[in-house]
Amino acid sequence: MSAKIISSFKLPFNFDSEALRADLNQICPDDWVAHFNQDYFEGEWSGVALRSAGGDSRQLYSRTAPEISFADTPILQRCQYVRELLTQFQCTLQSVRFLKLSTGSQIREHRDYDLGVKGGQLRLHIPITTNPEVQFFLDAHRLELKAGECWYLDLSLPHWVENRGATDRIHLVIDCELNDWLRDLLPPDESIESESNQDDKDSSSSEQLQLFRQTVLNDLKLQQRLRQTDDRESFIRLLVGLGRELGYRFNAADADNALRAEQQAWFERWID
Amino acid sequence: MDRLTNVTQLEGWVPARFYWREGKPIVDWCYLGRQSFEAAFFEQTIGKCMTRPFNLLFRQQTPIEVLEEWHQIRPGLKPTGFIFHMSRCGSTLASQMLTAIPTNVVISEARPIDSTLRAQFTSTETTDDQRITWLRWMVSALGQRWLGAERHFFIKFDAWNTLDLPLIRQAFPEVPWIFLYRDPVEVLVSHMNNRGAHMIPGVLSPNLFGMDFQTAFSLPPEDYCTKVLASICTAAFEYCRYGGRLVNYRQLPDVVPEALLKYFNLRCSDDEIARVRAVAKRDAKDPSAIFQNDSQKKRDKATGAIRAAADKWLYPVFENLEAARQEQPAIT
Repeated sequence: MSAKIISSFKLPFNFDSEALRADLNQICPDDWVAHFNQDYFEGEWSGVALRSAGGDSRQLYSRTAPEISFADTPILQRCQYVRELLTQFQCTLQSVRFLKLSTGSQIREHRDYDLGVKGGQLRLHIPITTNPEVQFFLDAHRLELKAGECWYLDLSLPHWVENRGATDRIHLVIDCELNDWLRDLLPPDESIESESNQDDKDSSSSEQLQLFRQTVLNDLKLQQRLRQTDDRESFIRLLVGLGRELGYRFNAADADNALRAEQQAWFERWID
Repeated sequence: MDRLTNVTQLEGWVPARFYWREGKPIVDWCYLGRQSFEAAFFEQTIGKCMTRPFNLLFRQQTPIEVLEEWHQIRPGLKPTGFIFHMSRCGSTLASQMLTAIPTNVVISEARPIDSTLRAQFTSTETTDDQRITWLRWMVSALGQRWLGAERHFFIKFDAWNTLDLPLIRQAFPEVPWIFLYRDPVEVLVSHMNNRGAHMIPGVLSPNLFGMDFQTAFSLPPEDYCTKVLASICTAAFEYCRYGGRLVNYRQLPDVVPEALLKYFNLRCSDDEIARVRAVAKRDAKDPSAIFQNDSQKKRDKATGAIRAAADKWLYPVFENLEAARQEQPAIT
């Protein structure tokens, strides 16, 4: 059986998006700092730190050296509701930031390997302003996060965002150290139940994949779904998942073998 | 096979390969989406697409006739101009200069076009009429408005496709074309340093250039390469009286903005001309380097064998091309 990975989970909080917007109004245009990771995005991606390594509001980098600890920045003092909201988190907080993806901007598919349950560090997203034209794909699945909701996202999985709407997308992004309180909020971790290599390796499963491939070649919607990731692992999970939904029984190993075979065939295409 | 139930499903797909299976011509299609052919060669754009897992697993495979159906509903852009060349003579610079105008589709040395043109070598029963028809369909499938606003469509052929000029002209009698060539010794030095596909007997059949395999393998490489180039240049010389313009490498890069755009009937804004000129400031195959005429450097590297072969087989036709070029009406 394929591994169940908790890639995203809506936590049982509902925050007041009006109050969050009021806090945003306390931020001056000059407070926004362009995101350091220039390679990942196109357009405008910027942020304001409310808590950061060293306590500087212009320090957007979410990791820190051991000798520098996280501290509130002066801007947090202006944001009364965020201060209240943070007291509800019974865990050690690392960076807390407003992150803004301006209209028309995109962050290309990438992975943040240290974020996620395995890394012991969780990133929570609380949307403040967003729009229906925001495309946020995590592990090849589209997420729809609404203002005021609080989401755990496993960002060690491939993800990309594109703001195709007419308004900016601003999230409050909180990095936490994983503890028992947080663990209890999350659904039971099934990701440890790893895939057994010997499982249902019946001979027909690669044929099932062949049949599914033919189905996809005649189904524009499935094709579009399958193009939402260029990450090989995400693609395989998505392929196996979509196949199951439609009753095709094949596994990740079949998909991996098919990809390898096609790659080989492509390299050898001129040798007849 | 015959997986495709509705031809409109080919929206956004590009023919990536033409080949024979069980005696039938087949086209492999790769999903391209909204993307332009910015890379110097068609194969680079396709190669990049093929790194995506979706494209590896999902390629439409259709009989060649599907190209016709596709041509009926999506004829695409009519070709604006063709570039033929003897290889290693600035043709990539010329095509990249045309690529600099965002409303141009420039398809450079596309394998599916070459495979269509050389179909009679893979299946000897292929007639010229079939090749003409297939070429029209293939060109039409490549000349789509990939981004939406494209207006002009250029094809740079492989050097050896020049031998098929008469057939290509039959398929597209109205499309203006140029043939680019360069001093024989300079071209030969480049090939002896790193030989192109047509310069290795067996990668491309020597029959294409009027030689049999035995002759091809018995010749020293300098001689074989020179004879290949001579056959390409002779084809261009013999055909240029029926139209087309000859362009010497020495005229690059200025000839493109100053004459070729006009010859191809392109009306360009000052901004577009500036973009075209900017390309000339870098090396077409290595954008980080600055383009510079390296004639002298190439000549200095010429061996005795290169000079002898060039004098014997290539300079005579080169002189013919030069004379014919000077007789042609100025294209400014």
